[in-house]
Amino acid sequence: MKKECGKTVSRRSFLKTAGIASASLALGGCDVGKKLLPADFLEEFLQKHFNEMSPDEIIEVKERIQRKYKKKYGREFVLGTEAPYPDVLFGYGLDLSRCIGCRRCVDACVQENNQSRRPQIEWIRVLRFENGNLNYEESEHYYEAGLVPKEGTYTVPIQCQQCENPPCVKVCPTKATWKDPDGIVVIDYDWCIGCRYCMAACPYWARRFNFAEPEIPTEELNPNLHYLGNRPRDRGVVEKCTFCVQRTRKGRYPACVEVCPVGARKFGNLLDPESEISLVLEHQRVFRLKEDLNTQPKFYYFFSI
Amino acid sequence: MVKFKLPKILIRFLLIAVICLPVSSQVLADQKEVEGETVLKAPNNQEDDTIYPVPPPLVYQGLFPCRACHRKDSRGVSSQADRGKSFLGKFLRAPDPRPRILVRMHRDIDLKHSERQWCLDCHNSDERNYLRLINGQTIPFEKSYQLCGQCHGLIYRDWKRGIHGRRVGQWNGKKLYLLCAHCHDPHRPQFRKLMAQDPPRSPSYGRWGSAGQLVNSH
Repeated sequence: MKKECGKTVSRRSFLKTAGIASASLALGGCDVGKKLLPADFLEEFLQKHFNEMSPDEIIEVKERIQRKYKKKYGREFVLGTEAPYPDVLFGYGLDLSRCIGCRRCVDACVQENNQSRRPQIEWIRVLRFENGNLNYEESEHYYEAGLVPKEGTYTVPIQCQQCENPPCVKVCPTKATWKDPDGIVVIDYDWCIGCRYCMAACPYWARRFNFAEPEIPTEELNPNLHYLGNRPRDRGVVEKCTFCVQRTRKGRYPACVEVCPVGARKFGNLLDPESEISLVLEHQRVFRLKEDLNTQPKFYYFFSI
Repeated sequence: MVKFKLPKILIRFLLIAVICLPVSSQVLADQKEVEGETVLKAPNNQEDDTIYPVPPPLVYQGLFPCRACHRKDSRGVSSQADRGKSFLGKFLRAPDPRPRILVRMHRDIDLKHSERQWCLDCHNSDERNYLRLINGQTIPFEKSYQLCGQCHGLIYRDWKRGIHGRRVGQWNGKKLYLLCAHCHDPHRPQFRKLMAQDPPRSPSYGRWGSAGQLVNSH
């Protein structure tokens, strides 16, 4: 394994040097090159996989990306690359007897995670069912905005289930998406080639694709970023819920948990027996979506009444 | 033999008295229950001394401190701290413990919390800035979860575990537990309906409706 890594690195560093040398010749007097800062452009093009970067390289990449965003949006950003906490496995609980389907979580998620406003991208999808019906195909997620809860219906919000056995990771041809030790399935947007195999593989319809250049009003951008989380994406990459990696790896609750007006959303460390999610698993009747697929989601639905 | 005959009016009076006696004694007993201090015996729940960190109670944003007006305790005596503070305070009346419809103040409060609930079941008439448990213990508004937990025990248990209610802050450290009254109006605790946010825009090519037809929502 180590040998292989060594090989890859040496091949990359060779390509990098060769690339910079040839491209600087080619772009020497070009206007486009000047605009894009040729060095940064090439660095981006030849950037390593996130898991193969040394700490120094991570700092270099961080600074470059912050430079890029400042240039693009005219604002300062703080790009974090926090590693997972040791001995932590994140789990999420959602109380279906409390959820009223108000979509506050969807809105908070869009704001927190810098999702494109146009074309519209929303990581959380709230399905509305008639009482007694659990057929996903007969659910409605375009239901009108009115007073909720609506009699005779119940709602099931769906987002990335952070599977322990994620099919999306298996199909990725470039290893741009993987499961971190704290259980979060993350995406390196710089390595995503936009083939959308992961979207086809996901049984929960949790991944979104940037079909066009994302548009976000500059003043609405959240400046606290994470490399694997909510940093502004480019056109042609896939994105999804990361349990607000930029918040949870600093010890904070995800945005949807804090905003839920009925307190239906629970979050915590599955390995800590005193955490909220562990107590939910201990005392409530929980279920997971599509358990028969053996994806082993870490997203538990329960009824507290 | 002289027949002793009771006057008719006396018979009637006796009859009415016999019928009314049990009823009136019942009424008296009811009043005793309302006024008496020693009738209710609640289990002492002081053993639960855990203090849960909470954000400032919403009552502090409203008409607070309550003692700005309610200066006299249940005996009609001003508390030591307030004595002589204000000339007007001397003319304030002692609290009226009888359940009634409020006509002068707090008319905005629409009390719909169980059938026989009354202000002084929860608010402390001796010290208005505080609440009162059934066992007579005085508690601040920050600990109002103990008050609600007296009746809603299962929900209180779940709240302590983090299953019911909301928390903000850190999943692995300092967090604030929202009080019951942050989400439920204690005077009318049923959760009120909210306006949902806008639905996602459906793709411009439309979508399949429930009847199998293509619905274009643009």
